This record gives sequence, structure tokens and C-alpha cells, in this order.
Amino acid sequence: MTPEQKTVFIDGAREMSRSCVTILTWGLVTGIAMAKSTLTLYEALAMSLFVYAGVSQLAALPLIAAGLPVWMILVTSFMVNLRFVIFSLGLQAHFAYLPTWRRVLLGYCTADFSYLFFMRRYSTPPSAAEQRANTKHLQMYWLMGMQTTNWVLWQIGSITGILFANQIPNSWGLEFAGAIALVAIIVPMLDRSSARWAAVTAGAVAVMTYGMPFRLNIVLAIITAIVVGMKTDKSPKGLIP
Amino acid sequence: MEFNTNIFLLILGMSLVTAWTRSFFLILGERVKVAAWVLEAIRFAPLAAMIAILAPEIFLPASASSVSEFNLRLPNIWGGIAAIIAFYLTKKMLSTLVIGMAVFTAARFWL
Repeated sequence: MTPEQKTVFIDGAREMSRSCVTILTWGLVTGIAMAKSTLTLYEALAMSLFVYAGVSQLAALPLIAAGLPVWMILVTSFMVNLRFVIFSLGLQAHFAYLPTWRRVLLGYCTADFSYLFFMRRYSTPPSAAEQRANTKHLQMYWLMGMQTTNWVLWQIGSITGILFANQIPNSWGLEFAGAIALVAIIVPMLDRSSARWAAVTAGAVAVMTYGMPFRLNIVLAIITAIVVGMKTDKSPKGLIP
Repeated sequence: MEFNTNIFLLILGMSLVTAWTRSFFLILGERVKVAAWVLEAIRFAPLAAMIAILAPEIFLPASASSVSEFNLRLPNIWGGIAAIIAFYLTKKMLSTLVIGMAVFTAARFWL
């Protein structure tokens, strides 16, 4: 890393650390759920360290307990992760020029928050010529800084949850603390009317269609929010809501 | 330590699914060019995804399987609304958590 890249990396790490309470809480909740599932200690730790996708882990736990075949749980994981397929379009526009291993690694590490914050800062993708001329990879290092902080904080929360699940009483309502911590990330983003319309739509659709299999309510909420967001968008093009 | 081949395969497979879905179009590299209108449209995706994960946590019971279990006696709803108002007024994570959890806890006893 050059000094310039290092500066950008640290700045990315700092950006993500502002959401530390939210990440730690969700990690903790996921860790506790794994500890209370049918997984052994080592299985739970391995799942936390390598799968690194909270919603898909939580969706898999009851299926593992029910003894469903591995392939069925993997199909479920894929469906639950469909939002990331949509996100990967946005990453593609920025990082298509990188070597394959870098692209896969960068994609694997880009969870919800990293993508959200990255797109908020770099709303317009570089042209192909700009990508080739970009030899410093500063955007990539900023994203990697965020990813590193996100991964470390998530694992701290998650592993703490796995190890100390029995000492944390259910009555604390910790799941709900996770939900509240997410409020603090979302509300500042509702600074324009199109974002507010998109948000209300996403929330209503996600709740109304909660009964859908494979958490497809998330994808449905995204699609309807995009339609409503585009319809109500009066701002100049290229701005991130 | 007991070794369960099925769980091992599952964790390996789920890790690959994470990598595959998150780099789905990114893997294709410069072979594809994403249209400008697509990028324009997916600006709303991360916000919508976050809300789609959050909203059921606030408006439905933890054990719910569908929207039919919605009811106003749910403490989550009041705690959630309190948290939104608290953040709107104070812009602070800590006060949002404290006020949200306080209203949530109070609602659990009274409703």
C-alpha cells in the first residue's frame, strides 16, 4: 500500500466504525441465535467466520434443525442473498477492470453496509477509460477499509454471542436493540422525498409479503421501491438517495 | 469433537453462495456493460434492502410467519416509532437506543 492508499483505507475504516453499535448488536444477535441452534460450538464459529452473511445464516438455522438436505438449504441461501446479486451490478460498474481474484474477493467482502456507504460516496461510476487510467485504486482501498472494519466488528459481536449466549437472558430484548440501531443508519438517508417514498414503499411491501418463501419479500420490496423512487425522483440524475 | 460431514459441506457451500451472490455480475468483469438506466434504478436498492430487513422486525412479532400476525399490542411497534422520533430529534445513536428500548420495555409491561 502506498501512503496515499493507506490514508484512503484508514478513512474507509473510520467511516464504517461510525456504525459500530449497529454492527456489533446485529452480530451479537446472530451469534446468540447460532449458539442456541443445533450447531456445535465449532460449527457455529466456522459459520460465522466463513459464511459471513447474517440474514442467510439466520434463515438456515431452522432448516438445519429440521434436517433438510444440504442442497435445499443452499438454494435458500442463494434466494435470501438475491439482494447482493442486484448490488453486484453497482460494484461491476466501478470495479470491472480489476483481476478476477480481486473482483471475487471484493464482492465476497461487500456486505450491506459497505455497499450502502460506498454507493453513497461514489454515486457515479467511472468510464472505461477512467477505470484503466486509475492505477492508484483509491476507491478500492476505501471500500477495503470499510470491509475490514465491518468484518472485524461483525466477528467480535457474533463470536461474543456464540460464546456467551447462555449468560445473556432472553428478556433483554436484544433483537429489538439491533432493529433500533438500524434505525439510526436509515433515518439520515431519508433526506429527499423520493427516498422517503421509496422507504415507505419498501417497508410496507416487506411487511405485507413477509409470508413469502425464501425471504423474497426483500427482493419484492427492492423492486417496488425502485419503481416508486424513480417515479417520485425530481432531482438531477446521478445522485444517491 | 464430533465431525459432521453434512454441516461441513453446508458451511463450505454457504460460504461459496455468499461469494457467488455478492460478486454475481462483478465476476463477469469487462465482458458486460451495465446500462446507465439500470445503475440509475438500483440507487434505491441498498436503502430498500435495509428497510425490508428492518420493517418486519418492528411491525411483526419475532415468531411471525405472515402479515396476518400484525397487531397494535406489539411492543416493537411503539419502541420502533419512539426510536425513529428520538433519532429525528437528537441525531444520536445512544439516545435513540435508550429511548427506543425504554418505550419497548414499558410497552411490554403495559400492553
